[in-house]
Amino acid sequence: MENFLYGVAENTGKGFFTAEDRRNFFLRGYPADVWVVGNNPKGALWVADKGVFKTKSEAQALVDAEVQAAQTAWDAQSDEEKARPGNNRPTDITLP
Amino acid sequence: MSTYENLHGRRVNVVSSNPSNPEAGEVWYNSTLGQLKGYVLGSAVWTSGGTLNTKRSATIAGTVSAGLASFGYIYPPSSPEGGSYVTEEYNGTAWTSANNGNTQRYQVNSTGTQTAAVAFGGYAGTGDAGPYSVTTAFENYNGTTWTNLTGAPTAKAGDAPLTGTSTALVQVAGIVDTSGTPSNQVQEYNGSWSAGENYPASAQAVSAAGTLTAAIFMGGATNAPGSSRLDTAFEYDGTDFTATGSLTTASTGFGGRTGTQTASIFAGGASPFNNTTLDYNGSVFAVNPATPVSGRPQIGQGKMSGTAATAALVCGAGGTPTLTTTEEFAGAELAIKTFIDN
Repeated sequence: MENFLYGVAENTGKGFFTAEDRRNFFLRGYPADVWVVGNNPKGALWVADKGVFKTKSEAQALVDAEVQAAQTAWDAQSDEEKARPGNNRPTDITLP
Repeated sequence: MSTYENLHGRRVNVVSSNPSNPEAGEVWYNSTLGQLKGYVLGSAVWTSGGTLNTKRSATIAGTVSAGLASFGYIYPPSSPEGGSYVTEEYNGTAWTSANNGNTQRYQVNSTGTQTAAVAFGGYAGTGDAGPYSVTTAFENYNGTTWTNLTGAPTAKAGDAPLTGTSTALVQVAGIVDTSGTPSNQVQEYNGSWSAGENYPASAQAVSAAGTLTAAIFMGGATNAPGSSRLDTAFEYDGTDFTATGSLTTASTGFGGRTGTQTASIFAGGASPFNNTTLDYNGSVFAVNPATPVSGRPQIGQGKMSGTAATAALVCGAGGTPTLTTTEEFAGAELAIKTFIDN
């Protein structure tokens, strides 16, 4: 059995993931509203309740698209803007 | 095999309802529910909070039930892009807009409460192209409006590390120019500004907690070639810095300003510590199993706040992409747990 489930869900704020959720299953958030969730019944219920399931490759493709769009926007900046403190080029992200 | 009675000197009570005032560590069998239960320490957790209205790398002050997000760099699709003075207040559930500050800037740091906060430094400027310059700006928020106070002696940016209250704070190290040059200079505020003893390293992204006279500073990075991250930590008594327990791994950019010199938490440092929480007990740092969920590039010292080691607020983040989401930390507390459910 795979260790993780993958899904897309919009973080709606307070109550989106609760203390009980955090104690029941692994949870990590990524760009493009992608969530990596521990593969157990309560984790699966959370994904089903909050959003839609994705395969790992589908989820990775969504993250890649968002990161690449941010990288493209960063690359289009002037050299002066790129040198602005704290303005680092977004880095690639690999889902677990 | 030992029994509960052998270990604890008494048997497990069989009761028809949970005790109304259980002792820490007490175990009982609830015959009505058919469950073995106990009153034990649960685990600390990070949970979701409200969402900022304006997407920016705001600095956070206050508590999980009365927070303040101010200044920061506004990223599209929010507008106008650039340094900001936008302010929002948090009530434990949602962020609402408040009056703007006076100087538009980002990589600001703030401290205090929702009704008595100060915000210091940062890169001042507007628009996506700037220009931006390191500022001495120091503003006070009284719960309604921002007022300019006398600027600090030295301009600092990079979430210039600071901790304390709006009327008594210490600011150490930080970036002093647009090239990212770190400083070891210390400045204190208690109604007026004065110089303190130099910090033991010229560093940026140092994290801090505590007060002007009882503070803890940890990690950070220098501009030294190669690996420039620091594994050192220092306590400050208002006069001198004293080395204390080191970090197990050199790290930078942790959120701090939560708790005291003897009980504080730090969370979300630069990679690979994005999802790490550390406890400090006055002597040593230890990994707390609670993990923030969001992949913030790094929280940064200015973007986390709380009044105790058991309750903290994180919002936005340093770097790109900046998030509008909030996470709230709740420390471990005693609770009734079910061990066996028949």
